[in-house]
Amino acid sequence: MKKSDFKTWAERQVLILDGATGTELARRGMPAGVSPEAWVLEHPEVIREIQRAYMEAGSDIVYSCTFGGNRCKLEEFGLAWKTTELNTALARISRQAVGNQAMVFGDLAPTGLFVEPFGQLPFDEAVAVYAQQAMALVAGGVDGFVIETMMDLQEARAALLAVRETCDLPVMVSMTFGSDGRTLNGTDPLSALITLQSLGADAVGCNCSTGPEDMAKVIATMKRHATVPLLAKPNAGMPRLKNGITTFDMEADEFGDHMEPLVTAGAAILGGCCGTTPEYIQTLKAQTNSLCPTPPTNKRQTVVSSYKQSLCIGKDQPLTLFGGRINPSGQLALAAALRKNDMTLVRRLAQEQARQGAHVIDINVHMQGGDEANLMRAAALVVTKGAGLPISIDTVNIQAAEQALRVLPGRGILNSVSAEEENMEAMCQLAAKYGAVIVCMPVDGSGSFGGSAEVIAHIKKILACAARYGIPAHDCLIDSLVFTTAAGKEAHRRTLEIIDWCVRSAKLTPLAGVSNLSYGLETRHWLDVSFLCMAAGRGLSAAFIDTSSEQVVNAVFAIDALAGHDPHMSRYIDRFSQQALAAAETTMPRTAGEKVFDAVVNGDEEGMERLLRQALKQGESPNSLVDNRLIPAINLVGEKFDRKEYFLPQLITCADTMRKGFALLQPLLDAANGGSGKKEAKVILATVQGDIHDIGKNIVALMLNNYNFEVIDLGKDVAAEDIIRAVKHHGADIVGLSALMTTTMIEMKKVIDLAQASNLTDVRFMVGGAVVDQHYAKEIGASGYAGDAIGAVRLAQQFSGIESEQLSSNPPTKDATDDQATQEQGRNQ
Amino acid sequence: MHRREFRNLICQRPVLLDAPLPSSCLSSRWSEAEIFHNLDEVIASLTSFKNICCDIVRCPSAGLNRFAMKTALSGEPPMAMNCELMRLCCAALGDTPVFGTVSTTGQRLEPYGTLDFDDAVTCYAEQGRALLEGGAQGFILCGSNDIQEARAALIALRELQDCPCIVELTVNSQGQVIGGTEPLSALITLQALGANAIGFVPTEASLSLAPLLKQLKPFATVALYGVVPRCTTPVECMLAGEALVAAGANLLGCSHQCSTTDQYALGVRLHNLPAQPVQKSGISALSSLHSSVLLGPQHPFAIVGERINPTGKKKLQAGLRQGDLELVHSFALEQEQRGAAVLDVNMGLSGIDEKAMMLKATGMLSRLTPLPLCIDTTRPDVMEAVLRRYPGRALVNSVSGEQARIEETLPAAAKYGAMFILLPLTDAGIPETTKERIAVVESVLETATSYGYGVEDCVVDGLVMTISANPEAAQVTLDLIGWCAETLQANTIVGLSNVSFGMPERQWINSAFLGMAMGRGLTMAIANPSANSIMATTQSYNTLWGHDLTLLLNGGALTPENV
Repeated sequence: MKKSDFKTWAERQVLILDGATGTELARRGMPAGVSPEAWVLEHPEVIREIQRAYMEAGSDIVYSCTFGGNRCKLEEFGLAWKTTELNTALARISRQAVGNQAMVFGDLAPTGLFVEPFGQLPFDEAVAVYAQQAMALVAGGVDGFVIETMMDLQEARAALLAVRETCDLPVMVSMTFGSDGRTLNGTDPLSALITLQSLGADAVGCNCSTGPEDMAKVIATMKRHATVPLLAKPNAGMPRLKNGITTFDMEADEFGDHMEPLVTAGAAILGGCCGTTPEYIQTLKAQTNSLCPTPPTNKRQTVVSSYKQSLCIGKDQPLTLFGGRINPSGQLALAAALRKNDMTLVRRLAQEQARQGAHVIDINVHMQGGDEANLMRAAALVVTKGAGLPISIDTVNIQAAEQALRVLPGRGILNSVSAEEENMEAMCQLAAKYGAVIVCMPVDGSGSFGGSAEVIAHIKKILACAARYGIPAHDCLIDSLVFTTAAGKEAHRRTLEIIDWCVRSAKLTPLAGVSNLSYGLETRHWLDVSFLCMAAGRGLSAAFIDTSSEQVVNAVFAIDALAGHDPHMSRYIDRFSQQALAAAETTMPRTAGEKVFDAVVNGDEEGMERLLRQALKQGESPNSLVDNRLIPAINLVGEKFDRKEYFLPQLITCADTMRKGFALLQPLLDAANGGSGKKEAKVILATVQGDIHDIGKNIVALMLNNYNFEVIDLGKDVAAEDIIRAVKHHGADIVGLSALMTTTMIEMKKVIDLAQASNLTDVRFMVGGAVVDQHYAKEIGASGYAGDAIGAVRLAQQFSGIESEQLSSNPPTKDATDDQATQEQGRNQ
Repeated sequence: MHRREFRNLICQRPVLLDAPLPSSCLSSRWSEAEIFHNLDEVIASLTSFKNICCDIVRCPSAGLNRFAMKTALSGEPPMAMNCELMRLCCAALGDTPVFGTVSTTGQRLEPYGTLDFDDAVTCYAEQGRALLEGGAQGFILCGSNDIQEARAALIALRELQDCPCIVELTVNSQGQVIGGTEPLSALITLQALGANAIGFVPTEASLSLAPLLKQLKPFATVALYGVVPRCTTPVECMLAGEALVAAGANLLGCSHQCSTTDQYALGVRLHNLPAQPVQKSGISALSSLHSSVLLGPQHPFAIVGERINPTGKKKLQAGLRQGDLELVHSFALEQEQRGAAVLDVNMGLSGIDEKAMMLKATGMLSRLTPLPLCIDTTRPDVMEAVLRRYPGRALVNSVSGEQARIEETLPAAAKYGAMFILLPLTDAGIPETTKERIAVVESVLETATSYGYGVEDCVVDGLVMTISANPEAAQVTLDLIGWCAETLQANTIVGLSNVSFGMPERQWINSAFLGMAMGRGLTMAIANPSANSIMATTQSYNTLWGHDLTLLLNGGALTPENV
């Protein structure tokens, strides 16, 4: 199928996808704990029957049964070597099942690993994993692709790039959001949409997640900025455990009733996920038969994104602030650090600028003789993890630009494309491939800049080139050429004229490097402030400023208030109430010990060791560093996580930072405490038998480790007998059990029953997982339920008698739907 | 002669005035009394060959005013003498127009001396009336060294008839008008008040006025007049004349030390020189007795210091009620030192005689500070009284689209040539949209034009309202400023205290608004120059647009006095 055909198809009618496959397979005899892909290959008639039923119920598209068909997933069953063969064969089976009466889309789903920068799997390896699967599926004759149940935006990007680099078939990307409206990694629907549609997805949406009601909100959020059709594939409501059997709380009719609101919210492609059957698809079809999808937005709005937030830039928006301090020119310390590939300073500068109010972090790592491409890639990842803001890749080096844009988990800004022929073509091509917004730098490399007429000619030339590569004018920011004050009034006037032209005549989005103005001047901020205000008076949309200057940032808040971009002046008023607080806080210099605390909170992995050594040198004891710095810091991180200030990537980074510190202190603690370092308690962790989902459990292990528990991780798919044997062997105090699926959560009860039978009455059991809740925990006789990793830590502390201030105020129990691992639930089919 | 005819005359070619009597044909200077004892010789001198080429001849009536003559001559009724002398001159000179000359009273005027301004006006009016009766075609205010006296004469003569007035100022070798006024501020003050030509006589006869005229020419909307330096040969005199014409002179005169041949030669030469243009559109400028402020995008940003205003100032109110101007005095100096370019003066306080207090304050301030004043009153009579006496070109605050202001304030402002702030509001209130405000601006300007005003004489007030009440408020004002700067090409001003009303940390809103408005072309602001953020923004503006490089020279540091 051609991408363009898919587009017209989805614009003309509501497209119907299939329903659940996993539950249908189980119903037809697939045992738990096997690889569905391998099982289906042995029982092709079963999947044929299911897919035919969906087709007859009205599905226009069925997904190939390759959800777990990537190399990483298959490896869990020792089947990685069979990846290509399996995928090709499964695609063929689906094709045979539906013939030409429905489309078959190749299904790509999570690897179960986190992709860098959030995890260990290198980005290009992830691309290769998906490329292999995609190629095999193309060979099997699929008509398009769907990348679904994605919890990690970066993994979704890897899969999307893999498909695009493999073939020209249409590809839909569908993310899974929790009830808090974010993915496991903290990605919100709009950021996901912006990132994926700009990277070339032909449809974006969500599946699984929650029931259809919540999904309508997600779709409506995306719709405002969607240029592609939106996809919704909800579960049949929420899972409930009834008498040991999972059911979903929504009948087919009720499910069908929710479809019209989804279409109204903006969905154009509908289907069912967990708990749906052909009957559901039939009602879906009946309910949407007469509906027409809303056409995509025609708003010409510049939107960029990071993995966790999106940002609109333009005339109706607050002034967008670019922080340009990550630039080694004139900064000897940064240059020296970069030469050693040390990213500590890069992270700190990014975090500082974010704290000071920057909206976009500009990264420039150009140095004479530096390896710009690798530095740029590394810096982009560090800034992503450290600040989580959209990023501007500031380079004229094509390799550096490509390296960074490729791994950037968001929609970046390419700064800049000049009117120099060679640079212009290559940069536009690159920006088009990765969907980046570009900054047009209207200079031609001749060294002279000319008057505004010449500059405007350059702008038009760059825009024409961008248009040839399919980049619309509203995805171009126009640099208005700010030079130092000494360049004189003609230069300043030209800048204002360019801005004027952009705003009034050309309807373009002007950007100004205001901080250039006072380059080389010492006390310089009034010049910046004044010129910024003048430019803002003309309609400037974005500016590079020195965010460390309170004056400049104050002025920006005032500009937004004056320009009508701060309704009720609430941001302005907040700014000054916060400023008073911040001033009170930062009056005292931080000691090395306090800096250790900060390092954990900021996730400064690189700086931890140095700071700890400093603190030790200053005489702080290892015990004090643990008790007064590391532990309180990680507690604060936990609170921030609870408050949704931090998301999983930050949690992991901070935990890693803490572990680094801990590793360094461990031998000293051992020596100080005479022999073995004191450990809180022994905790055994396991994902129960038949269940291979271990992301949640691994996070719990990591966090418990960081809180100084001795963790024995038995891994996944562990039999009850093995768990009990380990408890006895290690003399464990606490056992943590994880299960993702409704079919496997009953295993938990087995383990607890067996413990009681073995007379292990002192052992406390805590349980967790997507479908588990407080109620279920009580029902099976567990000592407690934890909604997330922080909850697990608190529970463990409670069990081992550790008083934590948070314990009293913050009960460790949560509603099951709050579970961060909900998203990992996937298609539990 | 009508002013228009005079203008036509100088548009044809450079015009020659005869040298003042007593000239080089006589050995020593005559007193006024002696003129009457030597009438025959005087007439003979005026009709001698040196005047064949003169376009305008002076009647030697300069000293014949009631104050100057008190001591010099007794018995004769002075006004009859003026009339008689003029009649004789006219009869003797036939077609050549004769201008009556008036000169100093010999006394210092208020606020610098004791002579009441209106007494001076009356004195010149009576002399002028007599000269007109004798057939004067116009007037020459000669040898002035006191701007206030020149103003009194000019006001008196302009109130008589629409005939041309030429003002002759004496400049010293430093190019300063005797009395300490800069020639540029004299030019601004007097041309606004209605002089038709302004000229200079050097105290040192050998001084060439060419550099001074050249410097003033871009600012002159009236004819410039220069006296050639003392020469030794006719050729030298011709060359000196040519140099002055090249520098922009429209009228020339000879020093009384020149020989008759020299003057004749110069007259002949002028017949063959092209006329110098006189700029039609005016300039936006204010002046005080001593100094001037040029306004517009080509000039430094002008802050009008707002502090001399009793509203909300308990101490100042108490002082004013007791007629005490001490605080006004210190506010003025403080604002001047902080970098204000103009001082706003408002004496609006219940229970005091506003007119008296305003006259007292402006009189005091004229002596105290070189900064021009902005006369801030709602009462037309107060406005008129102050403008009449203010020895400079003031800024009137304000004229609006309200009927009363149009009918009363505008004519008063126009009579004294003051610049005015145009408030775009009407009796119906403040229009909400930019479009409606533009309509008010256009309508007020149309009326102002009928009083002889040009767009350069007005400063449009952006009239910013409080953003916390209306988030669009700033935008409406910015758009109005943008329109004024680009389409109307007028100066604009905003008051900076309204916009941030009710907000915390108001200085950030104020300075950001100032900057944004500057970006749209704002040229002035009414503000408190003690506010660091305002003055830093102003200094930055001046640095960026090349009016003040100290910021760059200081490496960007604002000097402590200025911030």
